[in-house]
Amino acid sequence: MFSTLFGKYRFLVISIALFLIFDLGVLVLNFYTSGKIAEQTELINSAARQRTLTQQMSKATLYIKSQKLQLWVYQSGLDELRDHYRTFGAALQAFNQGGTIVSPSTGLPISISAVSDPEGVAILSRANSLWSEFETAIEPLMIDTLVSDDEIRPASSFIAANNLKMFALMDELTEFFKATSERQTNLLRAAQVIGITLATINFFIILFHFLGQLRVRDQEIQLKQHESDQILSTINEGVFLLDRNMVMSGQHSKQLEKIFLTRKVSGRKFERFLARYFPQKTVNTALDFAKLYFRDHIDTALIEDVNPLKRVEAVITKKGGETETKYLDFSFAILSQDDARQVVLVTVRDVSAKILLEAQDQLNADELEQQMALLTQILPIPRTDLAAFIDDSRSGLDRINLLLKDTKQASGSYEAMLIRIARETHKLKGNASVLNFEMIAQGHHLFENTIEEISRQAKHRTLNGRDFLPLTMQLKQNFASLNLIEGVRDKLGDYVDTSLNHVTRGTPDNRLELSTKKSLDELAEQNPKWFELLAYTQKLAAQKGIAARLNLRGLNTPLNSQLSSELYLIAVQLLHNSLAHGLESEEQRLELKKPSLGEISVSISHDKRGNYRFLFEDDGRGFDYERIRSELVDRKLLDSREAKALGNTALVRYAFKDAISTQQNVDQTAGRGVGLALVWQQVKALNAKLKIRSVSNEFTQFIIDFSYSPSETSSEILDPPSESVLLAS
Amino acid sequence: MKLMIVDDSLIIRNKINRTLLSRFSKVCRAENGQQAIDMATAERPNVVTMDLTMPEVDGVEAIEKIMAIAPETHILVISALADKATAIKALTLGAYGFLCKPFTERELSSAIERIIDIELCK
Repeated sequence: MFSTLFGKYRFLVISIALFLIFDLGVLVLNFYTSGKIAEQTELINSAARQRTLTQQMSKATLYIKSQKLQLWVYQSGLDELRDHYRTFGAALQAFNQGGTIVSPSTGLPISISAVSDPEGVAILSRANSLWSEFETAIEPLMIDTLVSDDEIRPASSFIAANNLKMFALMDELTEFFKATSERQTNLLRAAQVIGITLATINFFIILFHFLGQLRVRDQEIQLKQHESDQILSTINEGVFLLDRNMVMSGQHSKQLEKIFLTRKVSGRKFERFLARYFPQKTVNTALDFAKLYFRDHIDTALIEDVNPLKRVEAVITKKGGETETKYLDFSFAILSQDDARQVVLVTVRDVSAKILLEAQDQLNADELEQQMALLTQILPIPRTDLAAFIDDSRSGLDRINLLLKDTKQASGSYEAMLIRIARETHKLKGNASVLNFEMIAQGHHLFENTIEEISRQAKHRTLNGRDFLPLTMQLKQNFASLNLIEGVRDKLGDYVDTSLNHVTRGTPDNRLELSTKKSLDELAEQNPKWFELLAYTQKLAAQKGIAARLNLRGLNTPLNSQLSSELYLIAVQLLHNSLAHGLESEEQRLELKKPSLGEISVSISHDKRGNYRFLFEDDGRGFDYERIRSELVDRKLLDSREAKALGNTALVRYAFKDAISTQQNVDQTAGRGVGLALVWQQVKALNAKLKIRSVSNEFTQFIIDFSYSPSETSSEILDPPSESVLLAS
Repeated sequence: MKLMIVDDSLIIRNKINRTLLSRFSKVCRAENGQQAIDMATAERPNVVTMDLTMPEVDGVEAIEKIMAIAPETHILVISALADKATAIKALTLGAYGFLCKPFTERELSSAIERIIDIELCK
């Protein structure tokens, strides 16, 4: 029963109960014995009084006898005798049978018990026997007020003869009572000693038992603490407890300190702790989320999805003030403690490595995807063309790199430098676009965006070397993209099979006015890069939402590769230009009573003396002179009056300067005004003459005449000449 | 036991209905928060699946009002995780749990089973 009632506290309860029993036992015995002692004291006093009464009765008797002989008054003696006689008799009777007597010390009536001890009974027996004789002798004196000689003489004689006997008996009785009292006192003392001893022993048993238990408990706690410390110091996760008041517990894992680079964890408010590493919005959300675990209505198994501290980015400040970014994963679990209090166990994992690995995996996958995409782009391209593209691109990027290095040294003329970089980039972008290298073309396009941004800034402040840093970074990326293509090319090895190449490319419909398949095959065979322009035109036209056809003439015989590259660049830029600003949409063309299919023609011809003519024409809307005017005004190159005063020829000249475009929106192929400037640059490189003819809503024609021998040309970029030969009509 | 499906997407309502129909004696549907509040007042459903982003009255407001009308209702929030703070607010206001869109029928069934177990233990 005790075990069920008190459980593990049974020993404590029993020990305390025994302690109380011992103490109460001593107390009760003390009360009882002290009562007995008090009664015994009264008996002693009473017995002692009996002794005195014996003497006083003898004295009174003698007094009466003496007074009577002298015929004196003896009444007082008689009263005294009678009083002593009655008191003695009553006391003796009480000793024998128990009853009430008058206390000798207080004069108050007290109850006494009959003497039961044999020794006392024996004394009383003898005293009773003698007292009965006393009664016989004294009784005649108790009747009348007058005493006769016959009454007093025998009484006096008897008392005189037996007085000492009775005195001795009463003395013996007194000593008996004293001895009895002493025995009881000794018993009480012994009982007290035993009781107190037992209680003390019990106390020490309790004390040592609990000291032992406390020691065991302390050892267990220390062991648990040690085990907890061991566990917390060895586990690879940050672990701590969070109470209902959102306060972090005293114990936490060592890893937690390592993750957050702090020892200030214990007892901290969760909110303040988080605020050191996360934006306030995240902290607030996290705090609200953690509080959900203490809400009774929530099923915590169904809220993990909204955990705002999953794979969360933390900015952790190191001792020197440097910051480190980590990706952390918090998880929460509700726990009930021994005292039924609920706490949340929070586990923090540093998942930075995992996330970086995933990012790297993604990067690798992207790269692989890019490589696969590149593979499909590279396969149809003849090896020689691809090699030329890679070489041209690398040379172009190197030149841009050199220009950027110059910006670090030179403190001025940044604007001119930017123009040169822009032209070079535009050329590279054109080449990449024609070969369908979207990734490369996009890289150059972003590079051009950055150039534009820097150019804008240059109008408001003086540039410094730092402004070119974004370009350096992007250039590095463009180099990387080129390396990727080169890497794929190298992995493919000698993949290019010309015949396969022809088969895979097929013959595009509606794109060439070459009358026979033979002519197409010759073009693809002799000038494959130009052949690609046919498909590129269709693709670009489709992107612009127009219908266009490219006609190529004079390219079914081999063209000097260097010259081919120079003219190809011009053709690509002018092609972009035609598709961006020249050709109208099908609806617009029909409204203008033109064929819905826009025509673009490129022809290259030469005489025996090496005089070449490059002709590019389209049947589009012609030069938009008003647009050029408004651009000049918008860009504050001229005021409106000056712009209005310009003739068409002058306007076309401006169009060939940088940053003048008639396209309203910039896209990957046109809109920056760089294309015509690049054409102009190439024209000058060829030492050629450029004639332009344009009729509104009819056509635009670019005629480039030049003499050519392979040694005459240079790939160096030249600044735009101050003079040009332009014919516009 | 009654179920109320609250979502502005017919496809989602149908999917939830198809998955849970056999578990409930009655299923009612609402396509915005106000309808949900009205229906909760009239039908007193035991379980509610609640979208958060809806026209007129959104899910959070609807949860707050439904909990005021019938605090014993178990509401499972089913929503996309665009804004975790809003989802947490919904849970703070009395929603029982959260299921992220897109969800599988198994995930939905599992979440609802947990709620049904509680309802049956009442």
